[in-house]
Amino acid sequence: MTQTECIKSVGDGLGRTIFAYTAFVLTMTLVMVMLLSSPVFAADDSPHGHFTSNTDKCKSCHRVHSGSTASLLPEQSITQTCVSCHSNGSGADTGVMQGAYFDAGHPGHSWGVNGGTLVGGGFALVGNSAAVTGSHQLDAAGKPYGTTTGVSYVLTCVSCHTPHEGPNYRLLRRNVADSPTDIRVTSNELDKNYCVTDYGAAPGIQEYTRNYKSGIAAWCTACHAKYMTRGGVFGADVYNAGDMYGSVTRYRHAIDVPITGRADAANGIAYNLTTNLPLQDLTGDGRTADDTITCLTCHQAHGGAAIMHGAAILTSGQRGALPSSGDSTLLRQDDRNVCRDCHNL
Amino acid sequence: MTDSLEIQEQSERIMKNRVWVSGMILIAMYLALGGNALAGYPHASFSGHPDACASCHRVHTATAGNLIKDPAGTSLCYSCHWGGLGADTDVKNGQYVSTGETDHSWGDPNMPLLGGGFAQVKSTSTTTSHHIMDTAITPPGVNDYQDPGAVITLKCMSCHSAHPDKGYPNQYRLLRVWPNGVAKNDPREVKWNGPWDDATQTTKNNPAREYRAYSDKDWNPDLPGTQIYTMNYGEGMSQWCVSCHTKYLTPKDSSPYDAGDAYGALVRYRHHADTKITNLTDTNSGLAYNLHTDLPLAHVDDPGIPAADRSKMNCVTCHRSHGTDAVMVGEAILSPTTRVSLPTDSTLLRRDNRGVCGNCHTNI
Repeated sequence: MTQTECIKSVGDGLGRTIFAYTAFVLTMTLVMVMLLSSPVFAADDSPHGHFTSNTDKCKSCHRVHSGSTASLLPEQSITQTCVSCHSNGSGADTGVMQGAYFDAGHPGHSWGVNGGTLVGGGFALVGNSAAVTGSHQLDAAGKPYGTTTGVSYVLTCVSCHTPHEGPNYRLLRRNVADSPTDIRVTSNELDKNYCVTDYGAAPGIQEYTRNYKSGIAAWCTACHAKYMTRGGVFGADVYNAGDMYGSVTRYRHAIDVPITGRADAANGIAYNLTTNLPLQDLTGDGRTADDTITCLTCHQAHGGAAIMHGAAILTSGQRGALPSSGDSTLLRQDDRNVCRDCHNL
Repeated sequence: MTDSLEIQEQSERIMKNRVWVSGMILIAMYLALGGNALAGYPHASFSGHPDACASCHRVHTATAGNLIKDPAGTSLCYSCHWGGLGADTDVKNGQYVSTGETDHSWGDPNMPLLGGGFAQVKSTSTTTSHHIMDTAITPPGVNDYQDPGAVITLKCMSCHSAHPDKGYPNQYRLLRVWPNGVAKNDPREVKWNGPWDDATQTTKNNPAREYRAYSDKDWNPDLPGTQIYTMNYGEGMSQWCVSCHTKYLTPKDSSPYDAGDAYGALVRYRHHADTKITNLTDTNSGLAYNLHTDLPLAHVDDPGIPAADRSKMNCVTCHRSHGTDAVMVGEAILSPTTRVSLPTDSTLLRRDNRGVCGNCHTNI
């Protein structure tokens, strides 16, 4: 090798080294930039928040110059806009109309079982098969049961959920029902969990029990205001519930209380209850004695397919303005099995 | 060969269909005839999908404690236990009614209930006395050492639990284990016997609730029979009754007691209860004697106890628990000067006048 060749060889090597170093630095910088600036739910590909500066997600729900309804929505109604994604896996994994989880081909996460039943049930079907027998009625005017104001609402998806980011679990509104109270709903979830497979009747991990940490009963009762009031000896509560009895003192089941360490008031006997139903886990430590019953222990948020028989169907004389014959009132299980599940008589 | 295979496959399909259809028919028959036999029973033994909770409870719109749907005390119970509206036992009219169940036979339709009724005993009779409901009363024989002058407003649930009290799933007739606030360490357990077995002439001690004798047929002397009713009660009934009528198990007071009659505070004597009626000894003559009765006795179905000692009289030997149509005449009606504050009625006696006395003491 001549000197000239030697110098050229060294130069080539140095050039390759500099090039490799430069490429490494640029690559790492790019990775760092991506890690530090990309949205947390990048893999979510969600149109609800964590937008990038050049996001294309606005167009999922908005048309700047050709909106079909208020808030520049592309569809004829809020509900139609939401279900344009949240139905049949047409965009979102959560098919709220079918009450089923659709793995829409999003790699990198596992938030449910493809075809599995959503924990909140559905508005038309549950588990993409069973017809709903009781649900929150969308796009229809109605007074919430247990209301104190008598105000009639036309429920839409955004009555309960905010389409954009918020501090509450499941994008639940902070000021639901236009309440001046900022109600926080927190969760123990480490990762999203949309399906009921973990809390089914068969004993299992019951991960669902960890979903809710606090606040959901207070949130529900922003509309169903009376349902947090026990009444009777816990405080006079004369109220016309819409049934055959008119304005009389009412009594209600306790909410946000542990199901263990109870006392039989009549006989002064302490006892504990157990259940397979979801409970609120205040401390995030799994199914323990301090877990509390909440609205979603018995009810599904969207709609359920439970079947009512016999006495579980209120007669027309009894129900008054209460739900019609056969309405399952969003109960998780047939008849009053949610009662028996705790009060195992 | 191909035809043979097709025929075989077709035959298998037909067989599978038949098996499937047969299975569905069997399942349907099971569900219709007994698979869910107690599904509508609102007091216990709930099946997998209990609708019965809604018979009495409202979770968000209840009008009384314990999430009871009905604001009035007894009317909730009457909403089933009256006129065949739901239960077989019409406690208001005091008769057994058939509500159409085919899975059990716990009584004879239109016969009086063993406990009588609060308004009538059978639909054609007028009740001459009953435990007074929803009104403050002082029970005759109320204790004078625990709660003097105790006043009780009786409701159905003063005596019965809507569901079995905790720890006592087989308490007879859902009677409260701690009635009238008795001490927790003094539970008033009332045992009961299973069905009478003609073959062995014993009761089948089976507390699994598949046998309940509600009507009078089996002890009514007009309808001689196997007197199954006499086997209903095991032990504990008298102890239960004296939770309110606390004096009535004491044969002789240790200190004077004012029974509310014309005699004021004296040492009082009372008929024995929870005592056998055979192999007795006359305390005066020393003679042995036996009594016999058609009236219901408590029966301890225990081979370890001599046969003569297994049957005992108790409170419900003479009295109906709800109400009676027995008629009192002559001396059976206490005069106003004699009775003072004692009842003027038939005091829930099973028979007219003092027929219950004569039924045992026939030689008097």
